[in-house]
Amino acid sequence: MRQVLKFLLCVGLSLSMAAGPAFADYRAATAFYARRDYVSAANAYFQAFGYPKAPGEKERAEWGLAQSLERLGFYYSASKYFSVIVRRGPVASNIYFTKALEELGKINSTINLGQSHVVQLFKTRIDPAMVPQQAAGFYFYYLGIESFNQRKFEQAFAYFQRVPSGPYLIKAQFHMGVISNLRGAHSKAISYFEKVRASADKGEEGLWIREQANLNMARVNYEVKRYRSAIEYYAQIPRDSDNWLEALFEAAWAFFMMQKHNNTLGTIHTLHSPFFENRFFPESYILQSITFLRLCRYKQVKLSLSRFKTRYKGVFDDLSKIIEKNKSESKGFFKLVYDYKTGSLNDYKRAWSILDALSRTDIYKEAGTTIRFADNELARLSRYSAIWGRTGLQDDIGTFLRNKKTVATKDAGKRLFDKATGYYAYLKELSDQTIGINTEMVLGRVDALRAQLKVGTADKKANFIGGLQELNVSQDLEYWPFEGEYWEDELGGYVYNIDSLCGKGGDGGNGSKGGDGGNGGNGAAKAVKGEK
Amino acid sequence: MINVQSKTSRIRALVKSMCLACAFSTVAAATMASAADDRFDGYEIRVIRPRFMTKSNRFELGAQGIFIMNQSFIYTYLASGLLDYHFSESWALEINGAYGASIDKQDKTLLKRDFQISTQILRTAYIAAGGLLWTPIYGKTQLPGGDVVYFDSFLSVEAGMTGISYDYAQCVSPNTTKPAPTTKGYPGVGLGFGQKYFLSEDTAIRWDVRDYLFIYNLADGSCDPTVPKGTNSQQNVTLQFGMSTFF
Repeated sequence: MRQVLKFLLCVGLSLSMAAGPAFADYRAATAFYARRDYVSAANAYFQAFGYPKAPGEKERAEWGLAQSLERLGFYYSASKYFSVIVRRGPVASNIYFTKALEELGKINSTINLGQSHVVQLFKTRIDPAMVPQQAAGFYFYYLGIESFNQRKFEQAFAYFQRVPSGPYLIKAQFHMGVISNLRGAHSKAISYFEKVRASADKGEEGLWIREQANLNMARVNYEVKRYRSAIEYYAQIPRDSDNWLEALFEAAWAFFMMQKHNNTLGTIHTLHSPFFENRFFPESYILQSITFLRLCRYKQVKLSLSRFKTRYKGVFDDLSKIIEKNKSESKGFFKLVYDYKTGSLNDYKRAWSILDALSRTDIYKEAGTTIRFADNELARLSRYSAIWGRTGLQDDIGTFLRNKKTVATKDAGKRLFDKATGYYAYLKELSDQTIGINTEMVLGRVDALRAQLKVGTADKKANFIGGLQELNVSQDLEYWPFEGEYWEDELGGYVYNIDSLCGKGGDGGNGSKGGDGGNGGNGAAKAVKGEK
Repeated sequence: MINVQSKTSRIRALVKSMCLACAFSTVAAATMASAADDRFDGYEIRVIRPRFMTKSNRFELGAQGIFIMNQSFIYTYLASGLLDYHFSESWALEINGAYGASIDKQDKTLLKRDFQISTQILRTAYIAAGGLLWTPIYGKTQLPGGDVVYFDSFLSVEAGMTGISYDYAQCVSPNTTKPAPTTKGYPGVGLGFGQKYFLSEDTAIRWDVRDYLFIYNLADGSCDPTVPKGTNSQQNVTLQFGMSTFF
């Protein structure tokens, strides 16, 4: 009888083991999870994940761990385990593949996982038919982005087209607009950007993408020489945006092309105000000088060129030092920009305008967000050290988060460094142009130079007041004379009040005189614009 | 955005005799903004932009608290409402009405208690007036925090009625019959100066200092109002503070 009982007990135990996750850690974990005690659940799942006691338990525990962390708001930490599941691919044994992909899509639309994370994730090629509808946006959008970055625009467009309705659609449409413009389909591009504008929500991301759509619509209109419309879109960039000065600068070019020289100079006047001494718009001096050149104001041409030299010689020198020092140190380069942004940098003061420009890039902002979220989770992690420290979960997550920060920093540092070297080349190019303009003036070949400034004649009848706004005759206006004192609220509203001296003997510079010149020839101005 | 001048408080005003925008007509539009106002021709660089606050053809509805400042023995507080119609940026018609009460100051109480002196007081019960507002100054000021606030400075000329409440508290002699308390209205004129600080394109904080002059009948306040005693003039200098909304 005793032997029979022993036998039955052994059979029962064997059956319960074979039946699935019947052992303490996993069973306890599911019980904790059911009670919404996610802290204990995560801990128990982690133990079950490390020491599975039955087939399939490891995968189930992994899924449970990721879910518990997600419920606790440890999104990055959860993404670690979801990503491991996704990277195993849609094989039969990977039963949580679809759900994990969905969860990653949700997390990524809440907190950006970062480009490098997503690229790693999709290194495993997946049959598109296997991608669940809920994760299709996330999946196809990032495939599109990868192709876009590799300049495979047709392939990127095809991926973006497969993005269904959801949080990724608007971003996909935005990229489709960019690709359409690159294809030369300007109207189609505008129609995509219009869709983006119309469907962008009022949140932070919605505002950002709406602004980008406005900027791009302005650029498309500029490209097709619809300067008036371009200015209309530039005017929609709000003053508090990081892109406001960029919009003003580009609008100044549009004014130049419309021969609205007083508006061109007035807009540049804002860019040159002491409020923006750390902003990087070197080309504005070139634009200023060629505008004065068109007005036969040769003394002011020289003055603009000389101001360019005074302002950017030091920038150039310090920038070359920065580049030299950080050639092989991408993490260090990110830190340099970070130190500037946080106000703890005391070196390279003359190149702060470059560091400022870099700190306003999406590259820097995205890395900053990743670091902030990772730091936030690391700080919260310490609260659970008494429980998670015992099992090694704290170490596992901590290592992942620190690595994530390092990768984000290195990746952003490298991309920012590439951008900085681009600025270096850009400055050098502009410097060469100033020499060119000066030389031509000294040699008395101003007429030829002015003739090269190809400007449009379309939209010439349009009149603009300050703030990139068209004159509306029924509108009440206010005037404030500029008497050497800058007021913050007046920025962006300046309009010059000077006439052309062409045919009036010029202003006594070295330039040759006469003629209003200049609607034909190849555009030096356009060439300069093209460098940006 | 870097604000290099946010620490200073600055003020900038334009004195104008007419609405600046009036310089624009449909015919003149083609000549562009640079030719719009010749007072700025001497400036190489100007700010030209839509006016922040436009009042033309708009109503202003406001409420103010009024304090009469030139009274020795009482405090008088009135609540007022005003309605303006701005037919241009510079000119407006206004009607306003105020009603309130007065409180005795300690001096008056002491005189009565310690010296048995009953003062004869003109207690203002209401003011109703209407007139013209002229706004010659439109300006802006930068607050120490960096915010820029637009303002108007205006002058007002009004005619109206001031109501005086008589309680005949001085009529304590046993030989006289104390008349029943009454309120009498007297015609007068008012001159004033004020400012509006625009919080938005629809709302402003407004303060005024006004001098209301009226002629009153001396007999009305005497213990025997039936005996003619001639007239006298009285000024009420008021400090008014409140808010306005434009529509």
